[in-house]
Amino acid sequence: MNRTEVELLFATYREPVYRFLRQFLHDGPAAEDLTQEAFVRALRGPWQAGGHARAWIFQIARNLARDHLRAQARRPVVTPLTGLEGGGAADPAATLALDAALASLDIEDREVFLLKELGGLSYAEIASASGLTPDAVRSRLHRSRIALRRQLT
Amino acid sequence: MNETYTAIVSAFLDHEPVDPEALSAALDDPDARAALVDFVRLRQDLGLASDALPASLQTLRRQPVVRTVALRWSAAAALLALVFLAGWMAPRSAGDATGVTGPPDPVRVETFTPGVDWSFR
Repeated sequence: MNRTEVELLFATYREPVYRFLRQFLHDGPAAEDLTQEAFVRALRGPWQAGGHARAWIFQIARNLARDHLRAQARRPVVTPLTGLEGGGAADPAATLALDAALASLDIEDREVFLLKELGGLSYAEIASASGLTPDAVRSRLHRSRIALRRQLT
Repeated sequence: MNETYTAIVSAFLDHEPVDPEALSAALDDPDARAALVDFVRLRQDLGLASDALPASLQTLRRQPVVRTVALRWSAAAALLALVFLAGWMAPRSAGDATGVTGPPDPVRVETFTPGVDWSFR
């Protein structure tokens, strides 16, 4: 993929990729860094994910996020203060509750849920990016929603 | 709560194909309708909780990022190589600095003659 194509991809998907990483990692600076890194890698990497550009860039971002979390697991835990930074328009208490509910999900379920809700990927694209079947994606999404609903209502 | 119905409304919410008859049956169920509303609310809350795009993402950077971990390993490897090199070079450089390549020349020669009484009085 040449620079112009990746620039176009960046303009189109940087925001959903950043939001996915931000919520998945709970770490703004890391999300910024990995968003850039995902697109820089797209310049060098082979075309994958069945030719779906969106699924491909999210696949790269998801792999980077997984690597980041593995590296983080070897470091001291820092408790994030998500929601107190004045980022979104939501009530901070509601944001914290949502963060806590999301954090309670199994990591694969959370990943699939955020790829859908913040990435806007279809089931086929999520399956492509995550190495799951579309049926498994459907099932994980439903399970996540039920679990989140139970916690938040 | 009928999980078959909530699974149908979940897929419907995601614009995935669902059987119209199954959807109709699901929407007749009050619990499934309430679940659909909660799922929509959850999506809205998540959208509101998202931060604005930071300024650092206005443009795609030119150079690949040198990751912190990789940088640390590289620095450690370079330091180790430097220590080995210094250890290997140190004895040679000390000798080279004085120009000495062997033992020093004698400045006084003592001769011991056989048969001489060396005991001191």
